[in-house]
Amino acid sequence: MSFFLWLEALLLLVCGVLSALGASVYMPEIVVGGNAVSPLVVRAGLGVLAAVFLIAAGICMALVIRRDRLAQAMSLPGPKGQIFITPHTVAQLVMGLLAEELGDTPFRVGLRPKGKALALRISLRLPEEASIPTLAERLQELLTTEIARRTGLEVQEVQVLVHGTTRG
Amino acid sequence: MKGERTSRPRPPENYEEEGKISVAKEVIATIAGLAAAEVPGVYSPKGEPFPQGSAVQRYVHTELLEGRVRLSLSVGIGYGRVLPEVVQELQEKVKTEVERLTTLPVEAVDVEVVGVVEMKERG
Repeated sequence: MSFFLWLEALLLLVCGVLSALGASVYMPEIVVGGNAVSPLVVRAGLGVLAAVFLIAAGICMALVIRRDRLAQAMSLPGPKGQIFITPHTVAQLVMGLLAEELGDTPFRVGLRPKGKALALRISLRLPEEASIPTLAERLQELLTTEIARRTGLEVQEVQVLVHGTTRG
Repeated sequence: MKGERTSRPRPPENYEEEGKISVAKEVIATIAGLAAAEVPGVYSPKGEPFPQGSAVQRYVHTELLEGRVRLSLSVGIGYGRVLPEVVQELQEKVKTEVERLTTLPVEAVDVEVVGVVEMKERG
């Protein structure tokens, strides 16, 4: 999967460089559908295209690097071979634990690498009559200890984002 | 590579050269699949019991390096289980069974846990 993302990033980079080169060279007036288009407009168009390609290539590379870092954070050496735990598995475990803890309260889970450990981001609506600091502390404690116990992976940070209440 | 075979590297004692014994990669994968199916808490990535027979090829990848075997398995693990414990039991079981039945040394059993499975059908 990473290979295809790298390939995509490389292709976008090549397209970006070619567009930029196209924008920088001298070109005569072009006629499109009987209308003359000034070289300045063509060069501006190519410049915009180059910028779009280069930004897309940058995003692709950032995604691959992030994915690789996450994969590194989520692999453990076992006595008989390597153990890889996919981000999807950790997300499922987190969702299971939160469902047990919060009941019907809707929530979302995000994962990102932090050094050689994991950082979790939970966004949820505050259950009725719950206090934000108490709830956040309870969830942080639960997720840090349970994910570490069940997966052997270190959870370095649990961010809890409350974006409303279950009433509203 | 599908259909690749390996020869047994170490003949047993008092062995007389009577022919060559080859083991197909598919056979090693099938043995690994059967062993995996016996480990409690191990499922296929789709959440079904770990497949046996030719269906196992989808989840077991076998590599042969100079007569040594390296296996990679993709599995689902039952929710509530401690993943490293189940995976280590799986690695141990697969290594032991493959070495016992083929006499080929197993270099490593890499395991990728691709999901957790609600444990309803099996313990």
